[in-house]
Amino acid sequence: MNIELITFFIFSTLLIFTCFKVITSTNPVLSAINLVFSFFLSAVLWLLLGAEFLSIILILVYVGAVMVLFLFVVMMLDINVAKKTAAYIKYLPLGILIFIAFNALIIYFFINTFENIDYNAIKNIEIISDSNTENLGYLLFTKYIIEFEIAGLILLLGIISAIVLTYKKNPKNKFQNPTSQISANKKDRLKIITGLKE
Amino acid sequence: MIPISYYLILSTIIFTLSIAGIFLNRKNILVLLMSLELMFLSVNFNFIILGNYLGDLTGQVFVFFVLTVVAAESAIGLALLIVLFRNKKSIDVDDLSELKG
Amino acid sequence: MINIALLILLIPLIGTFILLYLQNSSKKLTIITSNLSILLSLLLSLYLLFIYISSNASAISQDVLTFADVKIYSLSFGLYIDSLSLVMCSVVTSVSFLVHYYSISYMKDEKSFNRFFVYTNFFTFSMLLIILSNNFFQLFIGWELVGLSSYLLIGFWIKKDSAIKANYKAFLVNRVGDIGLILGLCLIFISYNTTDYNEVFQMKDTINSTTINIFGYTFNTLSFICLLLFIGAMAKSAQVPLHFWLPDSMEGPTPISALIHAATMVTAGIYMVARLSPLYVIAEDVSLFILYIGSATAFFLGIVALVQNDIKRIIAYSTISQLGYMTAALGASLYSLAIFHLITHAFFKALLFLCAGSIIIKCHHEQDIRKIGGLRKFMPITYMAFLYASLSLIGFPLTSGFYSKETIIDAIGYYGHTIPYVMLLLSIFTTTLYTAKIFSKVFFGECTLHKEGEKDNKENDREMLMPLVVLTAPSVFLGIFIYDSLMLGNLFESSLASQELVISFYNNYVINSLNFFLHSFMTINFLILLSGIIFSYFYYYKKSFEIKIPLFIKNILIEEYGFNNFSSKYIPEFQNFLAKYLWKKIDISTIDNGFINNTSNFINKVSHKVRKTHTGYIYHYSLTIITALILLLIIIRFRY
Repeated sequence: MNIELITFFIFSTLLIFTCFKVITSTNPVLSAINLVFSFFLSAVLWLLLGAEFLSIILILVYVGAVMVLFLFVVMMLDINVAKKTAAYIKYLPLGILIFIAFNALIIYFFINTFENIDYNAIKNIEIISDSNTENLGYLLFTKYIIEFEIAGLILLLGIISAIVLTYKKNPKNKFQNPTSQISANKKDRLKIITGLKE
Repeated sequence: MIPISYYLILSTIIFTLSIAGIFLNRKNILVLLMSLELMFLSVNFNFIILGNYLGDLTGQVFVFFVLTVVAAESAIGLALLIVLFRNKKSIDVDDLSELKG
Repeated sequence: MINIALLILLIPLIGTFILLYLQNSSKKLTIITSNLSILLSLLLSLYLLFIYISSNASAISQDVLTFADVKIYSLSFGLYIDSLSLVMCSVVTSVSFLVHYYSISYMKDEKSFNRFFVYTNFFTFSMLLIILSNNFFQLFIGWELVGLSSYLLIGFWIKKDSAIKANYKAFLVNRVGDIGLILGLCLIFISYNTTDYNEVFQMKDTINSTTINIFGYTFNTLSFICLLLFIGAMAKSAQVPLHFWLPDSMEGPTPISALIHAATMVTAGIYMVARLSPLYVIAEDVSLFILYIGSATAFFLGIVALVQNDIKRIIAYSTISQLGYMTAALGASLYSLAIFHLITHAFFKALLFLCAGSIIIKCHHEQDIRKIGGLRKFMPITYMAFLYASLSLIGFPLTSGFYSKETIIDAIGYYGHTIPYVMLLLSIFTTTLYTAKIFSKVFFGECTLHKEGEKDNKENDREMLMPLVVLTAPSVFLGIFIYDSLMLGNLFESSLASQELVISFYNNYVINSLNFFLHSFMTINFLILLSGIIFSYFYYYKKSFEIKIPLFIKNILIEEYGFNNFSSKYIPEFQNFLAKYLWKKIDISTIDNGFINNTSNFINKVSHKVRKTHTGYIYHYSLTIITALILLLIIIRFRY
């Protein structure tokens, strides 16, 4: 019974509990907060596994950017909280059934596969130096450079599509169109009327 | 030492929880998107665990990219949600059945 | 000799083309060209016949032009010169020439005068093509061309509605018979791998032993071929049941009826069977069939002529009846007798038709014999010609008709075919009756013609009368002259088979022509003839008594045993019904509704049901995915 095992058990039970709370909260804000908490807990677990860089990144990117975005949207949308009271009760047996079935299958598989191995799930991986960050950086910039670039492109795509989807032109906006300004000529703009008396 | 199967069981449980979350909620698309995030979390867990077990750092590299993609995808998903809300004035999942055959 | 034969064949064709070019020019040029071409053909064929007989040459069959020569077979255009074809050539060209000369005057008021001569020249060429052909393929081509010319000529007056209908009827009934001819041709080609006559005749014994299997029934190949070819001959030579086009074909001008439907075209079937006599001798059951068909035709259609009132229709029925005689002779394997009757019939029947034409012209195109009468004083030449032709037709002793007809009847009786014999005997009676009917009604009685006191006493043009006079001679005297040489088998020995039947009949029964004449007064034929003459004298001329024929028999006869109705009413109605029924059942029900509409309806219905799974709710979809995933996992778990 060493400290790792204890840590693992505490944090994993808390994690499971928070995830459960995410999906069964009535208030979406509560779900979001629970999700944030679960990210924090999983970051700790990743730290236990030796992925230092990624656990920090998880908090910074995921919680710091994505969950904030979620909360912004939650605040922006007008959500009725009081109306529905745990509408998931109706489907709870089905959910439990699926939960148990799926779990049973995969856990059974995992247990059978990883029966006769040594118990050490935590190893030290060393490529160029001792630190995880340096290793990860080394790999990213040499072996997986193309994927790295493509990831950048994907982020660009995300930015552009988010703006394009929600862009709404204000009809009361007045603006200039230089092309039509330059291509104006006398024939279109001027009409000579003769024969008008007085 | 912690057996690897413990970690894998954990990741499985989180995955199934998120699956249950997808069809258990009826009133909120946001919760659906959040359970999607949970699914991604469990998958990331898997990558790190198995990368660690196999002694290769590739698992963590992949998690890096998955994080990137997930961030972009949440952004776009939420943008879509906003547009949907603009048009329908409601984010109830039961109202989103216009593609009904 | 081949060159002369080629000239005989091609001169009418050249005449056709020149006349086509001369379509709109003067009548005189047309007359000269057409008559000259046929006259040249006639002289050349008579000359060739004379050389052939006097030099005792043997049959020549030579291919003149080969169209197609594949290793297995070859199609060619060739000429077959022997006594049979030369005799037929002479008959055809002589009758054709006289008809051409006659129609100078008959058709002189016609607007499309030139078109007539184009067609008649073309017809002569086609008929010569049939006669002079030496293979089946050329026979078939000539056959179709003759049918075509008949079509063009029957419907010569294109504005007349009944002529157009008769036109179609003649052509289509001929086509029905051609089914048999084409099938026979194909069968010959398959069995023998050649279409040449001589090669077929050489191989006939080998083919006789083979059988052919159709729909599970086996037939002897040779009999089947002969049967099919005879079906073609049945349509062309107007035997029962494909005879009903001939009375309606009298819608054409009278010279055409004389040329085509009395003397030449309808005899093409007879000629074909006679030419293929080596084959028909072997196929005995087909010959028996031919015999019965012929005698049935001769008897039953003679009676129908008794209730007709149109002069040309009566003579048309008479033609069918006489063709029945020829067919019966062919069926009894007496081929030279059939050809003999063909020759004499050509002359006297053409004469009858030309007289009828002269009467029609004189009576201003009136054809009903109840409305004309007493023409004996006004048309003496026609009267005499008609008298001699009628005497020949009924078989009055010493005329050529007597020699040919009575020989056939006696030979059939001699060889023991009783039922045909009886039928042919009875038809002598009916022949006499209807001939006397025309004769007495047209030439005797009161004259309804010159009511207004016309002073026009000219009988008819010279051109019209000359052929009548010329044709009288062969129709009366030809029989005696060629009787002995013909019957002895010298003339047709090389070309017709089973001459021994004729020769033995001649030696045992006839002995010679004089003996036959004297002996004939004691036979039953003469008795029937005499009773017919006496009966018709009292019935038609003196009108001493009336006979009440029961109405239903009269109706049957007027309806011509229902053949006309059958072909013009029942078959089109049946076709209509069948077409409508098939349209409703197959086209609409099966194809339109069944395949096309039902396919889309089925897809519609199925998709309606399947569409219900698209609820539009996300969680339903995800549930499906998850369930499928779990199932997949279960399957993988329990299989691997």
